[in-house]
Amino acid sequence: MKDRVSVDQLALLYLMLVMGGKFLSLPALLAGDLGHDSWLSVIFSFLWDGICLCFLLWAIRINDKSKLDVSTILDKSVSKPVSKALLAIFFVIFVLRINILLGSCYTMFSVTFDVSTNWIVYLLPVAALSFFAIAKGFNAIARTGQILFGLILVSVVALFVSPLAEADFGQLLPIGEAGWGKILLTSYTRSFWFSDYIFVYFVMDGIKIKKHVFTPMLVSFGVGAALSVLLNAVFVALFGYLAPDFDMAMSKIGVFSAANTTNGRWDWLTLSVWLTSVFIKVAVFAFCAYKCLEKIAGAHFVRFNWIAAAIVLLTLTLPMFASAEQLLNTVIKWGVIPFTLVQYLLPLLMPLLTKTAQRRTEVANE
Amino acid sequence: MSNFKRIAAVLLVVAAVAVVAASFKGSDVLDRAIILGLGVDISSDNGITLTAEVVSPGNGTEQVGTFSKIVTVQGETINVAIQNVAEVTGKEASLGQCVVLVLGQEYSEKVDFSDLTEYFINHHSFKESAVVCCCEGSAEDLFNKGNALSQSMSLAIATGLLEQAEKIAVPNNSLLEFARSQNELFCTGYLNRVKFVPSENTDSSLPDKPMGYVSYRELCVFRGNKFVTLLDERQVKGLSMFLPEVYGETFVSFEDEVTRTVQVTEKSVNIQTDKKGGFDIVVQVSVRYGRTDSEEVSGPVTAKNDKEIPQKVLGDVAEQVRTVAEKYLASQREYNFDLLDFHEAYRRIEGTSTALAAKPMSEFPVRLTVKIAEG
Repeated sequence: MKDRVSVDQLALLYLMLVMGGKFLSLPALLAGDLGHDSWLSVIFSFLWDGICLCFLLWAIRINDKSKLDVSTILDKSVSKPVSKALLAIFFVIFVLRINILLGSCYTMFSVTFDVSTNWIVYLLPVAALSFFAIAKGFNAIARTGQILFGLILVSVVALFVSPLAEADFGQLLPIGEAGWGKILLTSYTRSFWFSDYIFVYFVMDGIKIKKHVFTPMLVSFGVGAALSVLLNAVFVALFGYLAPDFDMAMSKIGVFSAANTTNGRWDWLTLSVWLTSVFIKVAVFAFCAYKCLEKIAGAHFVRFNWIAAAIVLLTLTLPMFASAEQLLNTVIKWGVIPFTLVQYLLPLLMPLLTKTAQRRTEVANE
Repeated sequence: MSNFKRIAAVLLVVAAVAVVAASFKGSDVLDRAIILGLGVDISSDNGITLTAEVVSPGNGTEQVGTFSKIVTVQGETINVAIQNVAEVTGKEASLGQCVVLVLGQEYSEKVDFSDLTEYFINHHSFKESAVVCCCEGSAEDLFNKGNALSQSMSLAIATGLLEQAEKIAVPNNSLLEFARSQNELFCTGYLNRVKFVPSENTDSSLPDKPMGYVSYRELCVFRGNKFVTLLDERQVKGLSMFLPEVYGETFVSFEDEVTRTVQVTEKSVNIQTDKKGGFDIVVQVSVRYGRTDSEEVSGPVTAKNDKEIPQKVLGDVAEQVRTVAEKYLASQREYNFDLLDFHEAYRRIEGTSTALAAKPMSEFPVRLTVKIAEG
């Protein structure tokens, strides 16, 4: 089965996904909202994520025997119309996240490497990668992630080391100056960038569980969360009042090294390797968006749904019609509320829904 | 898959790769004027005179990095001036490798250069970790003295300030630190003041070649990107006594007609807020006998094997440390600038407020304790 994946592969991929999107425009946005308290907002966001992830993993454990897919679970537990509505919300999230990621990468390439190109040509290799992910299945992405994981992790660490030594963490004091209410609210209004575990819904039926489910996933989650919080703290400690203006955090952090000032730009190399994780994240989300459409449309295509794949690839052109800022200030700003359903509420209900779906399937089979 | 399909697939991939590769706008390194250093002076029409040390790949030999040329252009703003560099060199000006930004004396002392700081800090290619400094005289003159150093002036300044300054008790700053200091809380910060010091030509094979070195023992203080005052060597030495990352200060003591030179090897500085709204500062200094080639040495030099430093000498040095440190604190109060982050220390406790940001330095009483030990 081309969508089968082991828990270890899933955990590595999850870690890459957590690291893959949080180091672009998010730190600057949070710094604009909360100043030096932005890292606290990230902690709260990860706190909700951690709770939801535990429930989702519990659901995976329950689903181990029956191997029901997310569509079947939702169909059997909350009815088909609700199931399709939820899948539609998932689809919108995935499409928006892909486009925000691609927009950020496009900007990063332009400003960091001084490479300019048009969007369509920029998209060609991305579309090819996404098509590869959709056509070859989740196992292919997981294997690719597994191969590249070491390199990406080394790059992230290399980018971090020097700024970490330079940062004066005392600048984060006093803690909570922005106000705890505002910090909590921001962690909710910026929740769009979190809940990377949502891809797990779409491989629930293909997860091979040998022994542990919780340990590898929670270790990945812990490492990813710690790195993200650390990056945010380093970012605001280093750049202070300038942080909201530096919309490409990783690019700016990589530059910050007194030692490399007279020795060239090795940060460009490590930054390029790290960007691979962003493209893997795009491929994963493209795969999930395709799965959403496939499930919404039903089994009209036996092997491969060309129409669904074409729609997903077409949505990559969205930034040609609306800038990332427009998307953030309109669709994403108001979409946070419906997104909460699938990002935070659904995982909490997932064990219950899985049990219900299992019971109803057994009854139907009898 | 049939052979026909395989060939078609390969051709498709090749075509796609060719289209993608061709569409990325060529930013060939040969088409770039790589700028190593920039100097900014005020021009006669109140615009900018920009001096750039440029490496143009393809113009030299394999050792292209060591050959640079100095280009001087005019412009109404820094942006226009940098575009003019491109016009003069015939290549796109690339700031990604720029290691130093030098502000000429007239420019740094007479102009509010907020727009310049903002331009470079927001420039995507220009490194925030690049060295920013000001100079005695014009930046153009300074860059044109590179020949006397037998190396790139930009690299000489950057290497000196980044790698040597802290070891010889000279604090230094990056663009990021300076930009932040000019916009946060009390809005004061400093830049090293670089000057070219001519020296005697001792090379008989090149008798006409000018020679010299770059000195950076003075600092200029700025507030909101406007010049406040110049700190001389003694005041800089005083400032360095409060900076644990800076070391190497030398002190000379005379005892029994013997000149003893001691050097600071280690320092710990504890700056604590007190209940009166001031500070208790404890500077703990470890010293050892200086090297015979240390500065400030005159007369007979104390033998290196004389390991124990007499208490009298230690006491004398402690007094000197206190004197230079207090001299610096006095200038901080007199010119109302804050390089020791007094305001920041209270911000970390009380949070940001306009009252704190406006509090003058004279309202921070300081109790200074100097401890000295042989290290």
